[in-house]
Amino acid sequence: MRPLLLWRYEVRRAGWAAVLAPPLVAAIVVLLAVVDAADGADQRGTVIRNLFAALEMGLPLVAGIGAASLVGRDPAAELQLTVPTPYRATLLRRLAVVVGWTALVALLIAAVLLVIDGWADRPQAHGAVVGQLVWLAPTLWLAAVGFLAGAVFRGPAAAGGLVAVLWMIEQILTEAVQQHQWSRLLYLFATSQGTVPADWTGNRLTLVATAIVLGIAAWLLLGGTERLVRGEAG
Amino acid sequence: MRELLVEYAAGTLDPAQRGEVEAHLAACADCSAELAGWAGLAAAATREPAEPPPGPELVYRVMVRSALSEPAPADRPPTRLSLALVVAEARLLRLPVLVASALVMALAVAMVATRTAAADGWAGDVLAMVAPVVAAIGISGVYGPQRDPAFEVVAATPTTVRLILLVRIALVFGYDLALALAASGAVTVAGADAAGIPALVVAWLGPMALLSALCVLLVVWVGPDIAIGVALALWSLRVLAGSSVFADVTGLVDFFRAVWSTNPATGSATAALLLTAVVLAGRGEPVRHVRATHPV
Repeated sequence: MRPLLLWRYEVRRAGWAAVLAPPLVAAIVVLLAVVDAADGADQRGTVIRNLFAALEMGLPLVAGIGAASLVGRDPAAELQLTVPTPYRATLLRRLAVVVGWTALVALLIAAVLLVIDGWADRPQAHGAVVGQLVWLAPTLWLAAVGFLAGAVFRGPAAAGGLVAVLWMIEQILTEAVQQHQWSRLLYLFATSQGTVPADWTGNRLTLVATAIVLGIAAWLLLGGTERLVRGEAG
Repeated sequence: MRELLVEYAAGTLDPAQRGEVEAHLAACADCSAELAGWAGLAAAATREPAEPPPGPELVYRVMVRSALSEPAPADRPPTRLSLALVVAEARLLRLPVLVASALVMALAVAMVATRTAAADGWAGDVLAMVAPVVAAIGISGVYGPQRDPAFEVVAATPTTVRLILLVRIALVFGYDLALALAASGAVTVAGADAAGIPALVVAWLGPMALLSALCVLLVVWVGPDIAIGVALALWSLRVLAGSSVFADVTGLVDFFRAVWSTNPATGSATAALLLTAVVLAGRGEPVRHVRATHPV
């Protein structure tokens, strides 16, 4: 199969939900800004704040749940295991589609922020170039957690639930996370919710590095094809 | 010599061996008796049957009778709730889901108990954010062909699908209810919340029931994956609305607080959603969305 055709197939297979979710999240967050502006709030400031929230909170959650749903809901899994291409390579390509589409929407939002001078408005985001880590680090981390959880549980429900619970815990424990260096380094929302300024770059790089480690663990786990055809854990 | 008796009785030995066997039989009473048995068997095997065995006409008669006769009535009314049914359904609950639910609730208690100088009502807020999502994810796996390998067999039994759905909901929700009550008790005993157990229960009971009822309806209607997706999306918005990022969006925060709280309106909505789910459950199986590809 020609590479372009293969990628087109994977995009089709991802389905409407995966295609619509990232732009929908961005649209909802912008809508919240409009609702907020109707209450008399500073519209430009609110839009910038909400776009950063979409970048750092909304899109990573969508990518994480999307990655968690890759293992365990493939009706052709047994057929995939009989073809020469390793199934984990196919799953990695699907992960690339999920994260890639989320990244495209994130870059679009980042471009909008550039047009309305939003990066200058938020010095804690470190400018438009390094500031891409605002969305890239939590997106990669949650996607890697979701991918690994999918490999462990072999079902989207438990894996997606784990991603969502982790995301919620980090939302709830905002203040508690700031008390320790290690928890500050693993905090997903360091730009929107705040952190020690000197820790921001370290936090982003730690998230990216741990995402790579989690991704490798998932890759190794997905090599056991016998586990994959055994169905959902439990 | 005994091993040659079968062939001797069947008449397949060559003349030399036949002579040897006959010489031996003349002197051995045991072998003569054994030969008589083999000879009877050989005669029966070669005899023509008096009448042919029952064939196509018997199959025809059985099929006609099966088509014309009514099925035997069930021993008991199909809608009857019994302890045996509850025990049988309890055995189908997935252990990893039960353990994961308990662990997440324990984590919530640990978060609340280890937090020093927390604001009033913070413990209730944490339990109100964790307990509903735990119950919703647990309850999304109770029904449907995607989660129940015996779904089609169950649909063919006299016990109604509605009754089975209700029993499973009661078991899973009852378990999560017990977990949340235990968590509230643990938080109170640890001295992390001065409001007491009743105030804590009010904080999580309404949202937990409403989100679970919504999941039940979606599971019956469109299947577990979409139910879990919708529950997670709604709950993420709920968590975001309670975060400091949207703290000044008072209209939104007030709206979410009103929807996800314990009051008569949310109680009525819960009952309506559950009733709709039970009615839908008896009308067929969930829409099948699982395909190898999805048209875009």
